[in-house]
Amino acid sequence: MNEETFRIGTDEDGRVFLAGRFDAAQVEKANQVLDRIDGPVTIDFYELQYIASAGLGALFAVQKRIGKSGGKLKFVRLKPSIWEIFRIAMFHKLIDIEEPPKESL
Amino acid sequence: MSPAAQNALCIALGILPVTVFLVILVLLDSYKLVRPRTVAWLLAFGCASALLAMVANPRLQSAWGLELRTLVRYAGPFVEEVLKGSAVVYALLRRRIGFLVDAAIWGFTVGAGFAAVENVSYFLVLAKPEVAIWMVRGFGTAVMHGGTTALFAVLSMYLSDRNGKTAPWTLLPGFALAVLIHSAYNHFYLAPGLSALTLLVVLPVLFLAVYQASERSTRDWLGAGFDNDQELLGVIYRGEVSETRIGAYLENLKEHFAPEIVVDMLCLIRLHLELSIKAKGALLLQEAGLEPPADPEVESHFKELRYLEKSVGKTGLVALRPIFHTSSRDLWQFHHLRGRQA
Repeated sequence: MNEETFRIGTDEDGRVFLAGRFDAAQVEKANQVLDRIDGPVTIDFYELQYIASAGLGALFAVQKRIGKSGGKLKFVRLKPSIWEIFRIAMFHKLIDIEEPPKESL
Repeated sequence: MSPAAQNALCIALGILPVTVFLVILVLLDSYKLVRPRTVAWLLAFGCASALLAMVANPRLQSAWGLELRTLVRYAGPFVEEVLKGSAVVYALLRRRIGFLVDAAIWGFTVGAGFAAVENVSYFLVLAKPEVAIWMVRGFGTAVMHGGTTALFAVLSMYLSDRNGKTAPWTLLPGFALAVLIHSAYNHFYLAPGLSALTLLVVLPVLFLAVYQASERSTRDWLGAGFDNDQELLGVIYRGEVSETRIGAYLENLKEHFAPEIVVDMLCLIRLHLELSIKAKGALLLQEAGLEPPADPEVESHFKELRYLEKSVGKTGLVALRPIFHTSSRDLWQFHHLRGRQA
């Protein structure tokens, strides 16, 4: 499968994984999984190549929903390029985001 | 009803409708483009405009020997719309307004402040408060003051946006329309109650259309802008800029500028992108209903931006224009970002 093709799913540990390019065209597909989240959950970015503003909007909507009951999303294994954008935009202050190892930055 | 209760009811009728209208406008703005502090300043400005109009109108009447009817129908609306609209002109020239929604809020807030002072002053002058009069003044005149200035702001913003910058011709149609509506209202073509009712039906529909168009345009600008900025910044971070159109252009500039200036140009582009991502990131969070966190780096980034702009110089900035386009909305987002930290 092309590494750019967007995929989303849940693994055996209950983590949500994202892969490929998460852009506006994929929001509907992503929401089929994201809409089921009703509490704190870890989202694995390991295979995610790119996330557009529309994709971010979908994740923020989950944070907004679970935040009402004090829940928080956790993003792990981000590509350094994605982490940098999140750090600049200060998203790490609202969502628990795992910083990539220093040597990868 | 006791006289005290009737007084309270009349004052409430004079001020509450326009206040409720304003609160609804602010709450419906999903991007929270206008901060509460700005709303307070605009209300104060509107109040000051009304006080100024109370001084200016009688002087104008005596200086030009105007009949009261001429003053109320023509000179008054002109003077009052100039005074209220000056806040909007300032905002457009200083890029404090980015979209139609904040234009509407800016305009309506100034008009609401104006109407509040005008109504209180009428209340103090009128010997016997009557509920019917205050219903018309509250639901009609006060809402008209907010509506005309909002209309001026929205139309001027729309034309300035299409023109790329604010120019006299982008302000004139909105101003003329505001004066025309204000003057028509003061002509009493319709019974006062019917005028108020017309405003209450027309204005919400108008604002709804403006909000829908503005939300769509904000979403488009925000989405495309954030995605472009992050892609370009990614290219710069990965050191791949030489393979891009920007890299090729900067390579050409090396022939005309000292190497350290070209380096500063690249730093300027990078910093501009970083600030742009901060601003748009905050708007994305607000769109989702999340409160953007304070960013302690913003002020130092703006200092650095000013330093780099000075270092690159006016000629350098002109040379960068083909690749480093700063639209009025780009400048607006920086004001918005800085304002959020204050």
